[in-house]
Amino acid sequence: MRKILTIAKREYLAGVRTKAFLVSLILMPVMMGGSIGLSALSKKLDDTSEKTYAVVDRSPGGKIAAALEADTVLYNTVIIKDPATGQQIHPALKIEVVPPSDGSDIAIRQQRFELSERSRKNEIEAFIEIGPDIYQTRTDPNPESAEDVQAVRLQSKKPGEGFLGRYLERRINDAVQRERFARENVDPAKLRAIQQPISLKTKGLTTRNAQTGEIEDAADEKRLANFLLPGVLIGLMFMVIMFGASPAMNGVVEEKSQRIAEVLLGSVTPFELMAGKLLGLVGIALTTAAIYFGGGFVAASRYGLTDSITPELMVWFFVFLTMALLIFGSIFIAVGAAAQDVKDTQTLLTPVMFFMVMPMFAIGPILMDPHGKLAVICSLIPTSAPMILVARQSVPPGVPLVQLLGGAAIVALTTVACVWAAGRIFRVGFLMQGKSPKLKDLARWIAKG
Amino acid sequence: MTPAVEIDGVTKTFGPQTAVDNLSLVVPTGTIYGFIGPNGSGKTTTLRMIMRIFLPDRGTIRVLGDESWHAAKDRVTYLPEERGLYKPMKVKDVIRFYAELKGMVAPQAKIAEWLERMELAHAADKRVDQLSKGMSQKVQFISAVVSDPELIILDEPFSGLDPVNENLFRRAILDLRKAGKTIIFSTHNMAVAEQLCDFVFMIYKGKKVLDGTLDAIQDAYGFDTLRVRLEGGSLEGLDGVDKLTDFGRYQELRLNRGADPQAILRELMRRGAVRQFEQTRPNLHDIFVRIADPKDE
Repeated sequence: MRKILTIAKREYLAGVRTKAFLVSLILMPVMMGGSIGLSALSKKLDDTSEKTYAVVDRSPGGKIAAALEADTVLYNTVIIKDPATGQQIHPALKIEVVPPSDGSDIAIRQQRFELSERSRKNEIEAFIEIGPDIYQTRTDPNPESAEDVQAVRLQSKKPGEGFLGRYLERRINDAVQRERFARENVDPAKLRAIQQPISLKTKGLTTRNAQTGEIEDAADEKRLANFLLPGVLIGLMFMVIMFGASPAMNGVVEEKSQRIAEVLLGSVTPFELMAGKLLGLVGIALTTAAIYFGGGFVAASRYGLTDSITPELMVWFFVFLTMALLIFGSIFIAVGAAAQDVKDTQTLLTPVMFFMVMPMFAIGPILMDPHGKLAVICSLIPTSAPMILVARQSVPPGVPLVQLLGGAAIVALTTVACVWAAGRIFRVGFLMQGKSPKLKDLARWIAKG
Repeated sequence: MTPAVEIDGVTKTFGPQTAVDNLSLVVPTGTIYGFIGPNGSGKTTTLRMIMRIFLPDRGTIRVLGDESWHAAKDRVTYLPEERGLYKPMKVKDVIRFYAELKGMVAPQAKIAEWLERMELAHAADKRVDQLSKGMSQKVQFISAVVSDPELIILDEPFSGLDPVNENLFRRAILDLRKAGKTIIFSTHNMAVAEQLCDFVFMIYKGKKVLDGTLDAIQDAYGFDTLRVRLEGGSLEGLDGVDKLTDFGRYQELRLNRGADPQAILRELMRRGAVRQFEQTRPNLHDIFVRIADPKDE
């Protein structure tokens, strides 16, 4: 055991001191924090100077332009600011009410051109033209087919609505609907109350507390967490296995090609050597997983999703991750020992990779029905069980205990079998030079040693 | 005293090829034992079997009195022909790793001592991939001996060394023998084997063909060699001479069984001026070539 630990220590230190390891650790927060950082950065880079929107209100009474002008007070004092920090994050708004030209086509075109010229000279940001029949409801509900008289035109140098464009669209909508309600003698508050959408609460099953005997309501199902968490856990497990197992395999190929193998086998048995490497690999991978998990937890807490990450789930995650690492790690190390070079490893790994990525393909249908037949079958296949069981466990109410324990037992037995078989391949392959083995050779080495 | 290594009737095959064939050998404790033989004759396979890297198909091998693998492993060390060091590691770290694999606890003092002895103290903090070939070889040697093993197996320890470093290695090996260690080393350098080895063992096509002290081996061949320098005449066509080898500064004549050296000397004096005439036993190089390359005879 002392020798196994000596090898494991070297492997671990060699692994965590590589640039690849550090890069992988840095990449994770960069990737996770990147979107948050970018959005914060883009907010900082946004132009917050005052923008003047000219409004030509051709609607009867010109009430909409007046309403917009009145709204700017609320906008420039409240909406313009980040509610959390109180800092201005949106451009200030000024409404310039422009009297409409006469209704002739030529005059309308002329006015649009003049306002466009003002926009080109940066006197105004954009101009809005409200059609005279805006209060009339359209027979064709498709907004794209509306005529100008029943529409609102927004013209600017930079097509696209932007934050101010979307804000003004909402305000104009409100103003138009207020007028329509008034014309039809409908109380808008009453109508909104009538149209209030129902609240659908999706929950697990109600349970009885075994200790108190009380019937306990199921917790609310968090749809986002239920969709996001299993995918994140599977992705994390796959990534951690690859980050741990691939460098270990390449290390074995290197030791073999640089003849370090013989020196090591002068001091330890092949099995001790493989076990040490495997332990080192598991150590590196669990360190990565712990850091990623910690980072993920911090990120999840930002969105209030940490309720779904229970201590039970974390224990199962690390138990299944460890077993998956032992399964795939031992296979990768054995492949490294059997291969003559990195090219050989790619050939030998093809069938292994199929089993590794299988859970990624199955996760979609399994998330739709976490306790369906496909989910149960995948939970019983040793190579996919660790990822699938953890993913299913993260969706309330979790995996039935029988399936969880059954799956764990199958995975544990497979782990023992894989380590044993890998040890036999390793013993023969590690000193073999000059011949690229085929899969049937590996099978023979396992059978005969 | 228990022999350091006892090999009894050992055979090892790889597929259809017999690498070692019914080999028996006893290596006494506290000696330097040289393994010689042409490439592919079975030397490294024999060394690997002593290290239990390979297991024999037949026969037994006892190392330091033990037949079991684990019993002697930490008391035996092995420097393979192909040097293997972790390139990104520092010199002192890689030596420490190998020392700890042999069960040493806190080996720093011993490592410092050996680095000093092999004139490598200045490189202790260097990475292995920054070292020259000779320096790497020293690191590998220190890694092999730092754990104070009883039996040291060195496969081609002198290959690629310059004369200065060769002397350094030679002194280190002799010091180890003085300290009571047993050293087995394989070499293609016959001069080194002659100078260092108490016993020489030669394997050819998997079979033992020589085993004993250098004197005993040479005695078996007798004084059948004349070392001659002749001016003004030719050595061709001498009666009683089996083979003529020209070494440049002198020529070597191997005599037929029963040939008379005095008669040959008289003939040489008749042909020219004899500047050197020495009757000697064949050296290890000659014996090696006679066995391993009969067509050259």
